[in-house]
Amino acid sequence: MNNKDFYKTTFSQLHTTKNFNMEDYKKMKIKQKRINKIVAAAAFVCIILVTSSSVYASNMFGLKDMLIGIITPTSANSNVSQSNSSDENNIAQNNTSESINDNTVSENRVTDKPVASPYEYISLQGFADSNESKAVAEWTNFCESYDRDGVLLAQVGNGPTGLDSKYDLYLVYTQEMADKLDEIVKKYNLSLHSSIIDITNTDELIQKAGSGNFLGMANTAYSTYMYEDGTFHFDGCANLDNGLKIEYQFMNCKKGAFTDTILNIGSIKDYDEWTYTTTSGITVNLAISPNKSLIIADLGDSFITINVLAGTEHGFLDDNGKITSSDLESFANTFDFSLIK
Amino acid sequence: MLEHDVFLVLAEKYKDTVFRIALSYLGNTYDADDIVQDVFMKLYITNKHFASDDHARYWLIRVTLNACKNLLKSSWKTKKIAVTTAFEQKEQEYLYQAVMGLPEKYRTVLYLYYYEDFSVKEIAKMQKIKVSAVTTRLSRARDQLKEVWKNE
Repeated sequence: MNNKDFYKTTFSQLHTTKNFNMEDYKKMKIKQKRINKIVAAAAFVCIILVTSSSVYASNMFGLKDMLIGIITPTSANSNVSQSNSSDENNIAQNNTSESINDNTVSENRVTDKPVASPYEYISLQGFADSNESKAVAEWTNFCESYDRDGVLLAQVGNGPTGLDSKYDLYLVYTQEMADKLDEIVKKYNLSLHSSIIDITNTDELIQKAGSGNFLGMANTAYSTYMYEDGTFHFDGCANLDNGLKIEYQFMNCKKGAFTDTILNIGSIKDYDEWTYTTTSGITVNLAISPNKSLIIADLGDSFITINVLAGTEHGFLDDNGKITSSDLESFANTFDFSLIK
Repeated sequence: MLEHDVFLVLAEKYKDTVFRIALSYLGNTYDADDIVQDVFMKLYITNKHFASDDHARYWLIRVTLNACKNLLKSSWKTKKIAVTTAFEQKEQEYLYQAVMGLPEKYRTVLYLYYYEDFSVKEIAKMQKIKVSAVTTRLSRARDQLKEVWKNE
């Protein structure tokens, strides 16, 4: 028996305890209809608020200036997107991929559950008015509306597409997707990534990405990949002096290349933001929310986003490990951003 | 809305698929059972036409992943509750515990790849992550499982 068979045999022994009583489902459907009406009204209010907020935030460099899309769950079959500035940035991301209302829950909870909040996405390539961010917004918009039922992708599977040599580092599996990607990178004068390497240890990352040990003594990097232009990403862990262990994801995007990564930050309203000058002399933007936190640094040639998997109310895997604003500043100080190439 | 008999056939066929994905994602059977109910309610009320069984399965998995994601972000997240399944072999119990000890993002990718036989590209699209992130997660999950296995 190979690993896959062993896995299947093990997990095939797990079964749900739920059974399907049609009478229950009919009753739930009636409740669902009532909830949908409430959700649609609430969602409309949210869109107005978000659109308005982009006006007063326009002179502040922070999360709002990285925002490239918003998904607001509404009643079934209607999702809405907005963005903060130019029309070119409007992306129509559909979180459920199938226009499904997120708000129905089991019957015993349906009267209490809060309405689902909008999901907001930031670019990791720069602020929203940069070419890199505009490009990723357009690409994301295209991908969200393309092959929504996955039929084309299922046909391709893991097999060769004939497009792999040029587009292997992107989720491109038809000529139509390839053409669209080419159109976007040409429009914004960007290049496509051509190669990627896995980096297996912290020393190698420091040697390839830094002009010195930018990770300091507190950070350990693992699961690292790096593109040919020096854009890199790693999952990391930091041990602060106060004993707190912080899990995070570090992304450094070199400008001028197209990197198709975006980050769901939940609701921007949940974040407190401030600027902070680290002990290495680099000024960064810090943002903290109940569930996660962010460190953002525009280094000129590249743009860094650190997605901290902890907030003021929740830690990485459980409620242990939650952090304060002071912890986030201490964590920012563990890096020497001036040493990143 | 789906015909009742079509709904029941799909529900019986895929309820454990939905449950296992939710269990992989959320790490507890209580929430996973709730997700089953939630997802099949969505199936029940959908006007969608499914061209094939595979189409329905793909749809259910995507809806399940999103429902799990939303639950994790909500205040309804419950604490972990150990699964009470008695496995046929002790090694299977070890494997299950080792997998459930991994971070969520590794568990879900492992399940979709090993159990549901999705390609890395399909998983990337479902989870809205890069293909390289899927392969990295698979690789890291395997490494961590090996480490746990070594210590058992």
